[in-house]
Amino acid sequence: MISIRRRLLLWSLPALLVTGLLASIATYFDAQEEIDELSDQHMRQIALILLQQIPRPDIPHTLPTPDDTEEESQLVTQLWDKNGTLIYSSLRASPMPRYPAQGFITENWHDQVWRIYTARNNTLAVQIAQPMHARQEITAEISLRMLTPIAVLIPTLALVIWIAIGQGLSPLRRLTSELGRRNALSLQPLPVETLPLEIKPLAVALNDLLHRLDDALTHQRQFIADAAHELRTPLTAVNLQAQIVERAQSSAESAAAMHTLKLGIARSIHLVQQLLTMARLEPEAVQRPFVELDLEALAKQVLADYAPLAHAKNIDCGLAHSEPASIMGDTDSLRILLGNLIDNAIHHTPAGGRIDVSIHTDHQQVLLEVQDNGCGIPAEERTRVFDRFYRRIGNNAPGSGLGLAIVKRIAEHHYAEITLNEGMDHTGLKVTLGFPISITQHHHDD
Amino acid sequence: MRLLVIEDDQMIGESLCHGLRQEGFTVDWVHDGKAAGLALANDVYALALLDLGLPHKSGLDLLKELRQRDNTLPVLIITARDSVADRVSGLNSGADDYLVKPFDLHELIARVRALLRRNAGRAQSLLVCGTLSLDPITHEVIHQGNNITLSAREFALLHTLMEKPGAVLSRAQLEEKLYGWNEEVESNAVEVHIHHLRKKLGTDVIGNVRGVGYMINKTV
Repeated sequence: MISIRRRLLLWSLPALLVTGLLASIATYFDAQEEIDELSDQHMRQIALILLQQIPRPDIPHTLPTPDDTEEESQLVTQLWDKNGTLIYSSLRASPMPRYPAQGFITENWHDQVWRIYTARNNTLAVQIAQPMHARQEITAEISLRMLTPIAVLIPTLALVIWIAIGQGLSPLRRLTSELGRRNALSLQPLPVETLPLEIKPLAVALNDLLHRLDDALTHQRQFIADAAHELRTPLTAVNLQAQIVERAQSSAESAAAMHTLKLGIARSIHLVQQLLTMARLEPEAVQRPFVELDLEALAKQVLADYAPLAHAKNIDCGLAHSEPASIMGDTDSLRILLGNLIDNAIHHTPAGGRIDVSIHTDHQQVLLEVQDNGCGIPAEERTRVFDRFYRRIGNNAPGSGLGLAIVKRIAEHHYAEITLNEGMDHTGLKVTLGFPISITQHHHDD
Repeated sequence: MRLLVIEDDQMIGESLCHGLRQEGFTVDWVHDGKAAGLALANDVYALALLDLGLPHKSGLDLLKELRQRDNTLPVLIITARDSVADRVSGLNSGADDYLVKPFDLHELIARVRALLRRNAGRAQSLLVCGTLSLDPITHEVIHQGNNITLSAREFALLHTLMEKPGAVLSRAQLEEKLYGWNEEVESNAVEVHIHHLRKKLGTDVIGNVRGVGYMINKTV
């Protein structure tokens, strides 16, 4: 599990530590120069003070007892009289040699590097020496002191970060508990106004998803309500017909009633099939990938499927004009589309009528046309017939009211333009579907 | 009893008419709201079965208009709308009963009878007039203790007359109540049926007011 809190601590604390170390290293180099300068000045001052303060070099006991070599600066002070006799040394045991130069020099003595200052007047010579490592120790100490506040800062900061992140994440926890209380029926948007900038996009994206879910659910519920409502009608008919069969008093009456009962059952089955088709075509349903298909071959297949039905009604149903046309699409749903159009045409064309299917192509579209010389649809009704469960007034054909809704849905899925026009002989209906070549290809490329 | 079925679905309409005719009712069937309005203006029906989702004019509008004209015709709504709100609005608009599709033919017929009985102001379905009784459910007619066998039309005629004993109904009124639109009525059909009834029940049961019409003698 990734924890923002832990990750932030894991990154910020080492960063702080490294910064502290770098700062103290920088301080070390910075301070070194300063300490050198200061120490040199210090040594010179001591030398000069000694030269002034000791007019009588024969009284060396006034000098401090040489026990201060333990002090931090580790200064070694030595005095010589004008004869060159060592009269004082803070290193009693093994005094340093006297270096002839005046002023500052750097010399090796006893495996150590020493900074040495020498000054004299006519009675005295003073030599102040300091091991360089003493200076380095002071510098190091100063640098290390820089680390102390950082060492204190790290746990404090860790605590502050821990608390701050906890507080910063509390809107997220509120969001979580808010979402936890939700179910499929409470899909109203989450409150986003009070959320921090960082969490807001998440909540907005969630709201968008909730909105789409709500839409899909509403759509589904509406569909189920519509379907249940539509199923009542054929089921009522079947129920009544069955009871009439029961009550029939003669075998002739019984046979007639049985015939209508079978029609009623066929109608219910048809409606259920159309409902299932419609449900599968819902935008939310899983879509099959498009394949390249031969529209002409498909049209011939569907025409062959419906030939018996057309023949029974003595309708001349066939392919009037066609050219090879390949489009991108889903074979099964296009078969349903064409089947519904031909089925509709057969239902609404009187016996002895004619139904033509034709396929044309131009540079932009593949046009699929189904036209008949049946009763047609008045212009003012042509947009409404695509509505789900819309059945035309006076239409006593036992349709489901879903056929053209299904056609429309499949056409939309294929980006096809659908138009209704007057059919043959100025009556009838002509349904034209324009499949855009570029878009179907494009869809394939996706 | 002549009933009006207002139903736009072909199959349901056919079955309803068939079932009701089997029960001895005379049935007219209209498919849409406009035709229903015209049919209801005739005022010859004992009851209307009303579907709500009708072309041209909704069933509820039709019902409201009927009640605004002070028409008390019993109306039984038959519809697929099953929500409580729909039922309440149907009954509030003036329906006498509400039946949700899919319904049972037996239940529909029972409710039709109940409405007709209630409309006639009777507590039981059995029609009794002196020693003559008629049961609309079993189609049994008993006169002076004897079971009388009647044809469907004779039964319907007697039933109509026994709804209001003593009231005189003209031949035209009787024809309207007994025959639907598509039925051929012989000019003397009512007289012929009356003649047969008198033969089976005795001449004093059905009285004749000359030039006006027929009635059941209350004193049978």
